[in-house]
Amino acid sequence: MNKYLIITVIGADRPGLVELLARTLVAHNANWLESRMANLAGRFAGMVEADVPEANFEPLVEALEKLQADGLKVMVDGGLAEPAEDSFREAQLELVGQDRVGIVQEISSALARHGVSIEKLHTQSESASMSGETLFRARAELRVPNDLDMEALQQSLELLADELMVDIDLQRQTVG
Amino acid sequence: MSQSNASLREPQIHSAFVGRHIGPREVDKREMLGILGLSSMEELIDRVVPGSILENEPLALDASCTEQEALQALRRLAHMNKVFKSFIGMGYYGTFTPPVILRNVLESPAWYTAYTPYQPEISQGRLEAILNFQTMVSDLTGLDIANSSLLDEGTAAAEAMALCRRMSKSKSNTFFVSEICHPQTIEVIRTRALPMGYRVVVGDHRRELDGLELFGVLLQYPGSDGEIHDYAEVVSTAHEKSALVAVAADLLSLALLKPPGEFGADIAIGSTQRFGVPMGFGGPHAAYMATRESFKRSLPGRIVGVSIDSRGDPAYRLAMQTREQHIRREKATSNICTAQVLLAVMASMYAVYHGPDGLRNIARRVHRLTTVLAEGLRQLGFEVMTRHFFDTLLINTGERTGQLHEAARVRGMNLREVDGKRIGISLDETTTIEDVTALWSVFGGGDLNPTAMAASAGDRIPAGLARSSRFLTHKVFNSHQSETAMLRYLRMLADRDLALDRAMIPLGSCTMKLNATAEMIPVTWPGFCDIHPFAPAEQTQGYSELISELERMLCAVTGYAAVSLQPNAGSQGEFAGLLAINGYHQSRGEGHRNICLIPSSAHGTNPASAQMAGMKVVVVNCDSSGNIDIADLTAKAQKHSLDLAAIMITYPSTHGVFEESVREVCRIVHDHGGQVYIDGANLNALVGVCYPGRFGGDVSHLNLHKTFSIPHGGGGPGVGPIGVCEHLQPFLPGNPLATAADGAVGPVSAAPWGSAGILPISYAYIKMMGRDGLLEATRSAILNANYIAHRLREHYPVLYTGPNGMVAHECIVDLRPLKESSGITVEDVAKRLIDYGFHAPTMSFPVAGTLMIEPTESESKAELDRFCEAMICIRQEIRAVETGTLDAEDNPLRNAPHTIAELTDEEWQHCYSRAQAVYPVAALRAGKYWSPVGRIDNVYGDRNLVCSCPALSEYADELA
Ligand SMILES: Cc1ncc(COP(=O)(O)O)c(C=O)c1O
Repeated sequence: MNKYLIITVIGADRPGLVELLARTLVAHNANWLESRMANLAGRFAGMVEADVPEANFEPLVEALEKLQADGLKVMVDGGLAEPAEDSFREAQLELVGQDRVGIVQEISSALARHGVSIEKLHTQSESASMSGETLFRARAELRVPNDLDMEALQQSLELLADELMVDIDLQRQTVG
Repeated sequence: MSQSNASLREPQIHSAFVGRHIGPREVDKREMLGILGLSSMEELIDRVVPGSILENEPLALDASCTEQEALQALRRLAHMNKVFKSFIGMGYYGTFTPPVILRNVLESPAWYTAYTPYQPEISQGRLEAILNFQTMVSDLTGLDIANSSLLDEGTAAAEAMALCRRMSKSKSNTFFVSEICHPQTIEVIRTRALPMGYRVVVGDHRRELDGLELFGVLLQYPGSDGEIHDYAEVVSTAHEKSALVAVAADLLSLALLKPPGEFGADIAIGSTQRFGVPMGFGGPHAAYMATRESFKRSLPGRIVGVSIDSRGDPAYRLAMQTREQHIRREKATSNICTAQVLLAVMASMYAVYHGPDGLRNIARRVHRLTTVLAEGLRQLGFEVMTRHFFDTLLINTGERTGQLHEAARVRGMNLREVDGKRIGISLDETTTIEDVTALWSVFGGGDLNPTAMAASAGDRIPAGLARSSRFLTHKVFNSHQSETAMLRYLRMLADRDLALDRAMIPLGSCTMKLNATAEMIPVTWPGFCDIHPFAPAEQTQGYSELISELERMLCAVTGYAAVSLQPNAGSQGEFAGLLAINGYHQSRGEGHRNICLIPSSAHGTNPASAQMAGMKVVVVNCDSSGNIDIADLTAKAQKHSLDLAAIMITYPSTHGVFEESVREVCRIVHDHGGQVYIDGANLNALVGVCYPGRFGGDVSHLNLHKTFSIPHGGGGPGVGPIGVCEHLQPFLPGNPLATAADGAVGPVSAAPWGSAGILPISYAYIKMMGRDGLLEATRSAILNANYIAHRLREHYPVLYTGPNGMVAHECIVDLRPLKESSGITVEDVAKRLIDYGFHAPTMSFPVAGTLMIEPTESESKAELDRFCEAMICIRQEIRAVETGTLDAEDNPLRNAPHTIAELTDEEWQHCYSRAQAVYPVAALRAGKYWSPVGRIDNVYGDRNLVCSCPALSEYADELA
């Protein structure tokens, strides 16, 4: 029987961090399933989903925590019996509006209120075609509960800020 | 040369206009060529245009003629049109353009040469005028918010259908159209509905709504037949079905009738033509759309809003641009770009001039005369079939119908040919009691006494539908009723704006060339203005000759087999062109082809039009030199080979480069069964040099309001004709008064030749330039652009060039590195250019963070130099920011534009001098354009949306 875990790491970016993490997993016969990595302001941040034979779970967690010594802060959320099987669907969210302070926070909290989680979020501000005003664009991949009313979600996002245009495309397949 | 040697027929005289149209003198051209290291214009073209598409024979056009000869030719055509008194109605009415508006708006270059107000600081005058338009529309229709113009009533109705679909909660795909809508409106709706997969049901709103599931309803108020119905019940039936209701309403009638907003309509649309805009054989006129506040983010087209400037003073700008195609692209709900701003300004000024009482009086008089006419006809024994009416009667004329039309024509009058048994008569502002008497005599009652008829004729507006609410209460509609006040108001607004009559407008992709006075003069001649679009063909011979001649000229210029002049903007041309492609695929049993490849650099209208034509957009990448990435194109064409419908490319590309590979691009797409759409917005670089119809295009639209001198009007009018190869000719847009046969394409505009009234401009331009002049214009446009690129290159990187380091007719300068090094943005540079007296180049299109400069052939070397010097001085200012000599935040770029208000502050607030702020170059002291407002706050404007004239007290609140 395997156990699933989510590992979150953060540390000053330098070559070899991913390798260090991978080596630790392999040493415990853990299986690297999925991951997201990013470099933000010179810091390396990553999230890895892995599974590991039940017997190796505790030693792996200990080994990961020891990486602190190498400058990697690690958090483990684990011991799940299986990957979260659920009644979620994927959705794509695209949003464009006037750029201003606080917009990401407002959006993410509105999404959370609807039980929607953000899988990936890409945002950018850019100079708008023709008028040159600063626009904020966000593209997100979402997991939405199957029973969520997409129109209601769209409306409450647009209500957040009158100047937002929100497009949501629902992906057909269910996750998991 | 002594006088006696002067020849009697000098060829120079005939080409004199060419030298008036083109800015640089021969000596300037030689100098500029020399600077570029070239010896001749021919060498320039050889360096710029790929050999694979360059052609050397002269254009198949006449030699140039003089202004007088062109005017004479047009005068002849105008006289061939017979100006009859029109009683046809159907959305087009006689109107008096107040002379003060005719001369100071329609005939004033300050208004007609302006561009779309993307740079709001230098557009406050026309922004105020179009805010007045929005206020007028929203007041008269009784709805919350109006846009500032759509292209015509037919397309406005189609946009209303799209808005209903977006906002309705109904799952149905049926749109119901009342059978008493104008016939051309119904046909345009059918054309638009087809590719979207909507079912259009045309029927009687009183009977045929029951049992239908639908997402929207379109009603006409008053009906095309003149009847005024109470629609309250239809509205509630529709709402019960979760359908929305759009009402096509006659604006003048709303001065007397209960407005659509008060009986529950969700949307109102219509034409504002009869507010002082001549019929012009179908256009241009501004259509309007108004809707509920809660639908505002789905309203198509431009919307002016009120915001504040850097000092907190009120200032106007274009609001909610995130709705529009230039931001939303294939997600946009409408492709509209160029609209009808000049005509919207005229209509709004008509309301400013007449005021609410004046409008009400005009409406009352029209109605009164109609009731008198009806009474007379009744007494003459004719059945007037309209019970409740405003200005239009439907008369049962039975067997005598043909005879009556004949009798009317003998008297110089046109009546509406409804069918073989019924005649329609619409009166308007220009109708007199003598006209009514003349109409009676057509019906055999020349001796009827008007006074007696008036005595027994009562009001025919249903009591329950009489208007009780006030309108146009804002001060602006109540203060300019004297001509002096009106004249000064128009002058004051015009003086706030920067148009081509003050300085070059180097907007890339917009081709802001000279709109010569000789080209403009015929536009207001009665022989062109006062013709109804559905006047009998024998009265419009002048127009038919003008049209077929212009079609022939445009075929010669493009290399296509046929041209349709119907589309009334580039966007509509794109839509029409894609419908032709759809029609062609269908005719070959390949109607499933629906993938449209579009390069990432395309103009926003391209993907928006593709979506409206029912196509799926697949974006093709550009490579690092800005050209279409052939590998990516090949892969995508292969992948979609079975479903490939078309590619839409722009040539020369929106990056301002003649792509060497254009023939290959066309070949790849053709090999996979697709058709090639070449966006002709950049045709100004091609005329006389190469031909889209010959290097691989199947269809193109042209922008006559770019390449062929129609002025931009502050955001319209436009004409977007399409040229097609022979195999697409059967799929050109159809006649708006006939239902398209199976497999044929319906009309895309309400009038058969769209904005026919401005075609004389392009006709005159082509005639006066002639084959050699047009070629010289192309060469000069390319020379001017390369000269600018050359002068600016050492100060700003020029983003893309062809293999010889040359650009086409425009160039992109890259400001992104400067943003990195100094924090100064494109917006800062654009606004700083205002302080130097210039309209900024196109911002952030097609590449964010850049400026695209298109000088056109009309700008002289002196003006190019003045512009380059301004750009170079600005670069030095940026350098001062980079080195710290100027503060990173408090510098003349960040704070631009500088206003007189700021300058005259007690304390000067900045750490650079006043002189540096406003006179950065000495020449400005001799004459300077002053921005009337400081930098406008975009975020504030959208967050605090106000889209009609704000009450003066509101300003006070804001400022408190
Ligand atoms: C490249 C390009 N295509 C299409 C268009 C659309 O033309 P219109 O504004 O007449 O709809 C434009 C106009 O700005 C353009 O620059």
